[in-house]
Amino acid sequence: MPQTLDATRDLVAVINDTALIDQTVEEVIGLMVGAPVTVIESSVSPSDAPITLTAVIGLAGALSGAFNVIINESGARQITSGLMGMEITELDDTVFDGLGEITNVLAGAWKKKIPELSAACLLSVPTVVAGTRYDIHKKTSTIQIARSYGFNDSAFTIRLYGEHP
Amino acid sequence: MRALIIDDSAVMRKVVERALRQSGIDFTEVLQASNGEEALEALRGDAANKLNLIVSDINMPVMDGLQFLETRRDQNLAPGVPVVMITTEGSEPFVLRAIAAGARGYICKPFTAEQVKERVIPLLGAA
Repeated sequence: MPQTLDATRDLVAVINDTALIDQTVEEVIGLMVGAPVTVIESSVSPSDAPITLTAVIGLAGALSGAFNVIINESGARQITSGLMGMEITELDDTVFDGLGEITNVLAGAWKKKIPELSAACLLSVPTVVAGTRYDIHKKTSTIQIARSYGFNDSAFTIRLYGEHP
Repeated sequence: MRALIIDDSAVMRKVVERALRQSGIDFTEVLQASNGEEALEALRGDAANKLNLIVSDINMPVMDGLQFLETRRDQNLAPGVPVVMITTEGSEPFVLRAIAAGARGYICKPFTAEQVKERVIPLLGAA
């Protein structure tokens, strides 16, 4: 039993290691969007105005929770523009699609860095919420990570929360 | 050369198409399907005889990429056309299941156009 508890603590410590998320973000945004990223202190919040988008990937299995990317409209358009190699000027289904897809790739690339999660944590298809001054309600979670990044002239925040059963 | 890209994300289909076109291979036509079921429909029609390559995601609604591979194998649809999986699911069980079902290549997201080129060109040469 003590070994199981230790293994759980070790995995939670690995999940909470922000260096893994930083490395993932640098790789994914660099390769797919073509933009360098920097870690920043100020976070993007869905209560900010004007429109803020939140992409949600549900996590199930060895980690049960969600991997969220919160970003403003301009940032989401910049990410989609980078993905597609063409300028996107309006907030439309393409931007929701692009943000959902980059969040999916971020979540997948992050869990792949943690062997205990790689095959044992499943990802949902993305859901993207857009609006102004909304709240995201969730259960209190053992694992809670918030990390913010700047790229080009924009920023986004990753919020990861969940439980290791 | 003709390719079929299967992905529920229109943005990702565009990203993959761009990578294929950057490979230097002359793709005269790139067909698209948003899930495995749509792709099977395409393979039951004229498209099957014209294709040189299929590129598929795994996680998709309606019919996912692994179900697509298995159904295609079981129904013997376009059996000579190589399939490359491009997906976020890079863990061993997914890779092994995809290869067992007939996938000839596996690329994990994020990917570069160069990685797509390296995986695809040998398959087209052998097709």
